[in-house]
Amino acid sequence: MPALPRSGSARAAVMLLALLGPGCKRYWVCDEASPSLIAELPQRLSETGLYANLASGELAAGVLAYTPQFPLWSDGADKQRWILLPSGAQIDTSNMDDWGFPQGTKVWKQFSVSGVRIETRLLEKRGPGDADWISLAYVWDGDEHDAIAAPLGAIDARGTDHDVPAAGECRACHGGRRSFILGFSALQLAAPAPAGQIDLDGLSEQGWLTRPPASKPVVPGTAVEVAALGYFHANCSHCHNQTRPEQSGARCFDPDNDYDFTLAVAHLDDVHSTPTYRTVVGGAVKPGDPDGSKLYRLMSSRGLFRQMPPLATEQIDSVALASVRAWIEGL
Amino acid sequence: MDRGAVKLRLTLCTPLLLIATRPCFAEPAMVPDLTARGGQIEAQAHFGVATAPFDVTTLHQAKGQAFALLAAARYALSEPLWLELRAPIVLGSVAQPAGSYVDASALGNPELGARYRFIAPNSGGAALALFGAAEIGLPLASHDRDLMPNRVLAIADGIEGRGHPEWFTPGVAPITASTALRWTPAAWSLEAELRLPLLVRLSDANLPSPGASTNPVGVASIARVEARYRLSQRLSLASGAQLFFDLVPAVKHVRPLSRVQDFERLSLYIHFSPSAALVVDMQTAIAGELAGSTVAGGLRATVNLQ
Repeated sequence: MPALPRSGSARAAVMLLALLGPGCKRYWVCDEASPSLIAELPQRLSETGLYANLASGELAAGVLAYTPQFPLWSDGADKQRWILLPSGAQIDTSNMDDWGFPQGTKVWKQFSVSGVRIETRLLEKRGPGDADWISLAYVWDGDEHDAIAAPLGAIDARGTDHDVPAAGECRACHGGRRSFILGFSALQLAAPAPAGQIDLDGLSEQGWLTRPPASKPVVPGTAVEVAALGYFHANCSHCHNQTRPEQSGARCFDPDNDYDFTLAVAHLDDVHSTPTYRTVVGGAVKPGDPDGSKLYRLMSSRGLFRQMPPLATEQIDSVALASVRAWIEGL
Repeated sequence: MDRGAVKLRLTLCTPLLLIATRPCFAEPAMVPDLTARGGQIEAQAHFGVATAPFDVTTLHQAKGQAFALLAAARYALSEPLWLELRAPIVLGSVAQPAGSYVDASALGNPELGARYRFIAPNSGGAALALFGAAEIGLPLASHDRDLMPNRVLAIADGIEGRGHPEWFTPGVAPITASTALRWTPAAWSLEAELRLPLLVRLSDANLPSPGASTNPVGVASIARVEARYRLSQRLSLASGAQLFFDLVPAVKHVRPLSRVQDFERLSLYIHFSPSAALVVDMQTAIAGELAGSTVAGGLRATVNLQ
């Protein structure tokens, strides 16, 4: 951003214009999803290929459930996740931190609050390029017979506090990684899966990976350190990382990449080799002083432009906050 | 300052200064002043943040920031009768449910109308004037299948305190009748205005969801009062209030929604010359749907041409 003029009135005018001016590259502005692309997706969840029988909950052939070991905080919503690869296709795992998914991959995530199904999101890769993903949320109808496409999203869906993102908003988080899929990676699937779900070993056995890893990645450190680093990886690193793909258009939550919260597979020898320790500790984190740490203050706050994460959360994650506090105190 | 900047400023300012020093009285009042003998141009730019009602089943509010811009031109057909053209445009940034924003812009409904000034004789030195106006609008307020322009319009409607539904309601042809009274005893000036926009539904193609439906004619009523005090030859201070009544909603509400909205405004009038004046406004709501979420400020400028 260019330097502001010294004159008080001119400075105020420039700042006012900057709030809406395209030259400022405001980080919170995203482009709308293409209506024509959205129109290509089914209008009902039952038509997306997730279920063989929606009424009974029977999944379609080839759909696998999974759970990342470090989940994204979604204001306490219960989440279920599924993935479907085209028959015979493989995931390109030449970069173990940024898997490349084949065209035709579909990933679903379902959000429930207090046992009520609110929405199911779909990410579908429609072309061969890394950016060829399209996203859409489906909001469940009153009797939960089906879920209906909601390209605009929804506020306080189904009488809860849960907000459903508009189709264009998914890119704000997912666009920060070349893989686009955030919770389906070597690190996130390294922990043993619950019964009926897939994990890293299962993927290798099924032949889904072009290069199965020689060993499973293990997050270094004590339980406190693992909890903090895992939280940062799942909740911060999709924006704050130094290996973001190039993107055109609106800035859309592409921050200055001074900080990197990624748990990169190649940097798991010890905690000090992780990007978080190398780029954040001593900056946004003051060792031994959580209340003086910008990271902790933003995590413990909610409100426009003064909260972290900045998207899709209106409630503080008190468990994670306690973990991070303990971690900073122990540094 | 370099010479280029000086030349630019002179180029921009000279025409304005020439116009501004023409001897004619300009008054960018709440109710347009109709004392000039030629024409009058008025520009308004209000910037604000608002969380305004948006009657869609899944999106019951439109939230964001916007510039609500208005250009107006008036021409005196005869001393008491004026023709007027007003064109609103909105540039905004709309909040999405998860917290990101999308930039969007939209046309409001431009209006063409006539204004008449009835001048009552002075009573003990206090001037009293009565105004009447009728305007008809073109239904140009934006429609789009993704509703983004409609949400920008709702935000602009919010930052004007819902006081101009005739500008910011899409899919209608507005017909507005209004009357106003101005009383000017000495340094004080008091104004009161009542407007009655009829919003004739032409299209509901943009209506977003099965839960939203329309009335054939929406009817609103807006009452406004303003008191102004002349502090000096150059400055006046004004305080005003506006009450909006949604008598017959243009779009049937899909949730319980207050039909009354207040809006308060504090204004500083700067009289540059007899023919040019600028108003600095601050405005907000203290009750109703907009209370606590809506605040706006900006400028109005009027120049008389002769």
